Amino acid sequence: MTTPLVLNKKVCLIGRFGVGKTSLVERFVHNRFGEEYLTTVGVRVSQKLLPPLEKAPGQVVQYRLLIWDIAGVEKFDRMTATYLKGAAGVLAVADLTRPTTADILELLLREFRERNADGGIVLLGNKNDLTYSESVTEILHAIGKQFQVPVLLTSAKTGNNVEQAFLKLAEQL
Amino acid sequence: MDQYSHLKKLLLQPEQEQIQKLEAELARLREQLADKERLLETIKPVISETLSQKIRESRDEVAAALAPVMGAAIKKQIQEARDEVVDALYPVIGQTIRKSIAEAMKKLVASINERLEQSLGLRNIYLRLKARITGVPYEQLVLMRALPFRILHVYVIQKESGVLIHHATAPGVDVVPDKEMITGMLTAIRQFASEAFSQDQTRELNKISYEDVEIYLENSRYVYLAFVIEGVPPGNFEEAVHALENELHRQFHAYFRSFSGEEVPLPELDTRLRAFMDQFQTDVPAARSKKTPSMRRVMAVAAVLIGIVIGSLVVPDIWRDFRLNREIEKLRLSGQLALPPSVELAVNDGQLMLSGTLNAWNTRNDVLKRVRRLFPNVPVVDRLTVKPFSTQLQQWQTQVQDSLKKLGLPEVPALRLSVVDGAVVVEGPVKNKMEAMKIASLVGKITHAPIIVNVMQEAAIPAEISWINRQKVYFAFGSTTLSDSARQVLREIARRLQPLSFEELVIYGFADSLGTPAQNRRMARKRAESVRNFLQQLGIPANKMRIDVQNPVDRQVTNIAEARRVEFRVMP
Repeated sequence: MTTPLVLNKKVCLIGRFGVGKTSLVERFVHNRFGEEYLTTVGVRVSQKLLPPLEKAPGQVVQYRLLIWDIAGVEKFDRMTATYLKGAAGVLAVADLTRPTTADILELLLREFRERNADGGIVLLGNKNDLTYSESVTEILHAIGKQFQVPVLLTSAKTGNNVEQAFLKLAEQL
Repeated sequence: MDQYSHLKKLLLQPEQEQIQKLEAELARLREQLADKERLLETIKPVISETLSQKIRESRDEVAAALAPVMGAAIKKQIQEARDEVVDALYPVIGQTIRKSIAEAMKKLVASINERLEQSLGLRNIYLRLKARITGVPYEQLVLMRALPFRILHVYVIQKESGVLIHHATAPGVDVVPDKEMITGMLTAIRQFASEAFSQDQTRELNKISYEDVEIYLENSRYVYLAFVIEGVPPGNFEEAVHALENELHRQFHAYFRSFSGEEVPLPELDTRLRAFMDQFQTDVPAARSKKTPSMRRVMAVAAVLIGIVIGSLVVPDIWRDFRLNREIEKLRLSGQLALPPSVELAVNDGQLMLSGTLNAWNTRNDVLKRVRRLFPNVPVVDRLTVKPFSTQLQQWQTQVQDSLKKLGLPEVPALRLSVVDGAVVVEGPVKNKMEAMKIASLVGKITHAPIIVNVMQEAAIPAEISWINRQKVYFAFGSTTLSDSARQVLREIARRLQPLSFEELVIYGFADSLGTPAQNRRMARKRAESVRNFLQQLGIPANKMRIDVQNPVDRQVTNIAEARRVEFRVMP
């Protein structure tokens, strides 16, 4: 088998406070900087080498994701815009138990698409191990349809769909 | 006194005297208790002895018992009388700091002495010669060798994403694991600093200190460079870093611009980074050991042998540098090496060092070319810098307008040049894209800037042209004949075109998707020809019209009848 071409890609996790972005990264990778960076600088970078992927016949690539976990945002501010620069894709996360966390994602994704029309996007409804209202998933599916992007329900606690979320994003890079 | 009293006195006198004595003793003790200083004086030896004994017997218990009380007391004392506490601690802490500084100074002096001792030999002669040739003061050369400076790592990082493009590590230094993650975090910190502390986001973080290691950050257009260094950087370090950034940009800007995260070996970039690191490498002096007399003899013999070896290595170096200097002088005198006055050419360790500031990139390139041509086998270290573009903008703007005139192209009065991140940006309204490209290419030739950003836009289209460009002439299935309504549209187009000055009218022919590709192309061309012939009859010159059927089938059209048509574009 030919050695795959390793591609380093910056991806960001965005969403409101407490939706479980950091827990998703914790679940997905263990190689990371300390928590204090998140509170000081507003970002924490982790990395994960994904398994090789056949992008096209005979073209095998292996993505190393540099995951920028951006501290929860309540609105799209200048700092968030700066951190999104150069990102090849985003995981937009909502908390399934809090409907208000899904509303902001439309704005965040619109801002991201304006900056990177070809960027990959995966929408995540996290904490699916808890009881939640269907209205949140409806909002997520509506946003997913609007941006033509996949929606996954995840649980950082049980690990459900976490790896698939990152792999799904990698498929779009 | 009666007899009873006398008897009482005789019987109780000793007891009364005893009571008086005791009362006096009691009064003395009360007084002693009231006077705390005296009391302390009295009980001090007892408490001290008891405490010492207790501490000897169970140190940990005493510490555990006292810790909360002492901690709270010290905290309270600091809150209430900070200055007094500082005054009390100053002699102790001050002394410790003085001791540490003295230790460090002692080490530095020892290091310098060691270097000076070593310098008494051939190395001294070499350093003195080097100082004469390079112009760097002898003392500086000695000091540079005494204060070891090393570049541990160099990272080339994509500016916005923080993705690592390349990384070089000094020999003997441990390779950093997870460097991709580190450069990501470094980028986040840099962006955070820029957003948080710079009002207009133009200022950049350029240095991070961490214990005895420093990270120098050098900004470029598409990337930034991070140098992890140890020790005191020499005076020319920052200048050399700027020059390296310039050089890397010139050599690799196309790669940096199109970089999309691929992890591939970059031998040329690696060689250049390693050469840069070597340029600043000074050897760390080894710790001196105590030597026995016999060892000294062995060492002396070894020193003589090493001296011979070094001599045989150094003397040819000096001779080579001397010959190079002589050759430069000869070429200068003969006029073959005429360099601008701001440029300095020096010889250092068999290399030619070019330094100075020039007005333009082309002059810089000329100087480099000339020197490389005259000395094809000698490595040239390029430390030439070019004056910021901003100082030459006005001059370039005039030159561009003059050149446009000479080339017979119309002047562009609103043409504006500016400089952003080392690139020349060309702005202003132009007639069409072709003109924009011609002007950008002219700006490139005049400025010799490595990057030209062309943001010229087509000027607003006159209403008549815009109307013609919107017109469409439709045809029946399988037909190339013009209908009455089509003729009417074409008459109006001809009427509006007559007074206009234009380069050409492009006639685009289309067909529906029902036929074979060859049939569709033929049909599209015939329809366009029908239109052209009719317009010619109406007075539009044939040489001002061009037929285009490169894409004869428009698959975006949902109504098939609309696919059979001809469209127009007037080129101003």
